[in-house]
Amino acid sequence: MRRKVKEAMNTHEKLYPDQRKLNDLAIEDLKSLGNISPARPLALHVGYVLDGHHQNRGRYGRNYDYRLLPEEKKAVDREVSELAELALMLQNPEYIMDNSHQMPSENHQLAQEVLKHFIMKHGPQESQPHLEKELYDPLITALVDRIQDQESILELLLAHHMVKESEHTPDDYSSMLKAHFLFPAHKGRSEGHWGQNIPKIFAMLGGEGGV
Amino acid sequence: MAYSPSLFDVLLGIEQAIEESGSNIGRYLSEKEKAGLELAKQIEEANQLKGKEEKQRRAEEAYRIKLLKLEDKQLKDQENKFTKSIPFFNREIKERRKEIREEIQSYAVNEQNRLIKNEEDTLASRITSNDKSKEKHKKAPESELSDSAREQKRLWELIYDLPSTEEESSNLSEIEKEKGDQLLSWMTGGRGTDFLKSIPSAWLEAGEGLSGLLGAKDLKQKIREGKQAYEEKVGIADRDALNAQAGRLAGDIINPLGLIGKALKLPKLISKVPSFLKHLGSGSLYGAIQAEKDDEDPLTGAAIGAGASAILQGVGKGLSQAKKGKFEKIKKGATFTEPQEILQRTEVMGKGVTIPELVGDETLINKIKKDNSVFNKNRMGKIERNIKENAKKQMGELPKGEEELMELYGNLKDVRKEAGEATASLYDVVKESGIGSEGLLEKPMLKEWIQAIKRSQGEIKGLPKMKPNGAHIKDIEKLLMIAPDDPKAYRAFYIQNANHLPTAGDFLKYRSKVKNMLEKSGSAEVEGLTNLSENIERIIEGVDTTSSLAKANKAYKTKIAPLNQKDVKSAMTAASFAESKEGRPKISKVFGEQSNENNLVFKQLPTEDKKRVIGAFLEENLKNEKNPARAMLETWKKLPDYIKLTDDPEIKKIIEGMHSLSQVNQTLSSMQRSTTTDIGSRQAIDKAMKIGKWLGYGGSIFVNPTLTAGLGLVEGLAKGGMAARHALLRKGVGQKQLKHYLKPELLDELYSRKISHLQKPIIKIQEQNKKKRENYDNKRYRRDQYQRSQ
Repeated sequence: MRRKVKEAMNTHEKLYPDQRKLNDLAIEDLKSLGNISPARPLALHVGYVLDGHHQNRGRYGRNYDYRLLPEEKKAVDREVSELAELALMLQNPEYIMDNSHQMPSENHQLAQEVLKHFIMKHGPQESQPHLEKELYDPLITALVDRIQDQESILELLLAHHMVKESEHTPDDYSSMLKAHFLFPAHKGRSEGHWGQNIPKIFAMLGGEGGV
Repeated sequence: MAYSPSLFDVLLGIEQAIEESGSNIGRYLSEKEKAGLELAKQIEEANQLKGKEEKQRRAEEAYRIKLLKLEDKQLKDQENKFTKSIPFFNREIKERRKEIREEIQSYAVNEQNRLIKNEEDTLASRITSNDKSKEKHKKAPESELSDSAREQKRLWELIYDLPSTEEESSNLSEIEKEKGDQLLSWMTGGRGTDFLKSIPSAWLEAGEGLSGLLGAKDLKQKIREGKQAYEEKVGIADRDALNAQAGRLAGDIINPLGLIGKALKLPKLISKVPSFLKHLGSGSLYGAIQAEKDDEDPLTGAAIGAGASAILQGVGKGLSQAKKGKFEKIKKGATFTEPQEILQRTEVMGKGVTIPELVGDETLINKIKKDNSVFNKNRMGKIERNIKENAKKQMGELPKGEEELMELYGNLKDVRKEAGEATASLYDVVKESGIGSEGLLEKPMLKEWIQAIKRSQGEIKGLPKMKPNGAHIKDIEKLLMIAPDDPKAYRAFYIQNANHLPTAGDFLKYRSKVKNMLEKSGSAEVEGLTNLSENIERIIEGVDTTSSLAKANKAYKTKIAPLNQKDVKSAMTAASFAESKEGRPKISKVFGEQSNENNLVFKQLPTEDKKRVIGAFLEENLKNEKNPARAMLETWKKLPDYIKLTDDPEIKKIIEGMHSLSQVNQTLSSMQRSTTTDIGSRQAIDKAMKIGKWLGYGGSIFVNPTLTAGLGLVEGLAKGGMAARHALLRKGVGQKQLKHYLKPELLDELYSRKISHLQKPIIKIQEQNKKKRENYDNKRYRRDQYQRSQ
């Protein structure tokens, strides 16, 4: 899951190269903490981005979530992981076909089934409009719905506590954090990954001219 | 009129002065003297009228004054150095400096009088012997004169060429007019500064000024009239007073820190700026001072000085939105030539304005426009207003919840009562612990002891420590510097630092050690040790050492020393501090500090007492926050970490519950932030119901009379919070996943596909079995047929 978050951050940094340093700082801080949760790099990174003067890293205390209870930390981790996964699947369908995860999530498994179903049913070219309607739209709706939820774990726990540490307004921090989940999806759309990579997936599945 | 620098020059001068020194009062005077001496030298060089002896005498006198000034400077340094440590020596310095200053002042007055007299005589003699002088100057060969003398000569020629009578004036040729213009431009261009100083400016002030002088029909008469008017107005002595006043003003201007207090009255006095600027603009410092005198407000000049320095330094930042707008209207690229413009800018920008802001630098304007802090503040203000407005409406949607909250609040009175009793009880415990003054060395006594040691330290080697294994004497001194004077507070301070501060017992030990050293010491240290021993005895003069000090020592050991044990020290000290300030300790103060000692104390308390401690924190917060849920949340925030991280399972639950209220509070806030369009919608009502339900967990517990007794209330509210938190976490678990967004038909299709995929092997087997059966049947049929045919 850490890898997923990192991928999301890397993607964002490709779009905004100047933020590379901030990411490195966030990772560096996290390494020094030893056992880390996946939500932390993103939270810290967002804090640095928002802060604009990350030299003062002490203000985050490097353990911004100390106010959270263990089960709340787990909830934050789970939420961030799921959002990052949705964002990555939207960025590139190749991620949907990636079976390297030890414990694939329910969303990931379902998305893979749908993708296979349509590709094998309609072939690489014909399946495009179906996938757009039946998979891409539900994925983006699910992501946006969760991001817009005012009572989400992200909003109530992570943003709230991070704001306490960083002295940013809750709205600022929350919107910046959410933006980081939307950027991968935006990138995938703008670069047309869904159109380009479907034939590759079709070939990977062993098909040639459709079933 | 005298020297006429631009206003910008004046401001620059002030700025330069600020950089150079903070307290050069009298600089103006010394510069004036210097100019006067240089002038005298120049006049002597040009005229060569005075004898060598007189010149030598004056040079010697000037040299002597220079030496005196040097001595004064050295004494000033010494005075600063010894101010605190050796008062009597400092007094001597002060007296000597006073003498020097008087001498310098008397010299300055004599010198000034002499210069004025010389100048008067010179001018009078030159004006009366106009023609002779003209010829004399004309005859002097140009090559023999120095540059300054040549310049001087040119100036005098210009003046002498001016008409001095009406007849001459009427016959003034075009060339002469041109010369007059040249003179005027030469003077106003700054090159005539030295010369102008040679003419007593006060004469010109009192008369009609330089312009009046230049256009005079009778120049000689005009100067005389000026002199007469001046003498009538102020007199020589008053002139010195004015000079001194000018020095003070200059000093004030260049020492802005000294004027902070005065500057607070700046808004009132700023109205007087135009008159001051007018006078400064016309180059007349006397005029400016006179304006101050006329206004009969001694602070005016000083405040203006402070205002000027504030303008130059720019003490404040940040502008309101309204001011931003006004700022944009100000024209860019100020020239500082219009006092009115500067005044306008200052009024708009406030007293914290900086020079770039005054000038209207474009980059700066852009920077101010981008100042996020301004916009953030505005936005935060707007958000706050929206919250308040929407909160009222939203609360209307929650009648039940509100009712319960009010009921809950009513019940919290019991909490206060209980918490109050608990506080009083703890106070008694603290009181009974007996924090007495016995055994503690009083502050003056301790100070005297240190002084005695310090006096003998240089003469004696290997003196014992004031407190065995205790702090160094310097550290003890530092502690004493911050020790409070109030006896109770001092006691508390003493206990807190008892590991470093020596006790009465330590003093007695030190005393006996010194006596032993004296008996065993060699002849070299006898004198020093004797002095030290005597000084120590002097400290306890009149005190019955064997009874009172020994008694104090015993009291320390039995009463105070146990308090220094780690587990009680901090709490007792904190309680003692609170006692000294407010007469009654607050539990929240006793336990409010995050420390290991407090942690140990808290750990030792029984669970019920721990609840009381938390209740005391809550009581504090209820004073400021009427909403009990929020008060609880605030309490949680203020609890020190050692309480939050307690191992006591019962307390842990309470803490977690309190923390959980943050979710309730946050949800409420997010509701309040929602737009008005949401209000009344199904979504808002659902939210409201949810909140009501969550709060209801807490409310239902509070209305239960059996639970409201005692500080179980704290626990109850915490339980309500826990219920809310669990609800939130359950919500997190039940987040909508992708399957909720896929079409049901697609899911059915996928399901059947999966099923068909899973069923495939079974069908295959079934088909195989069928085939087998068929084969078997066929074989059997064929066999039967064969058997029948047989």
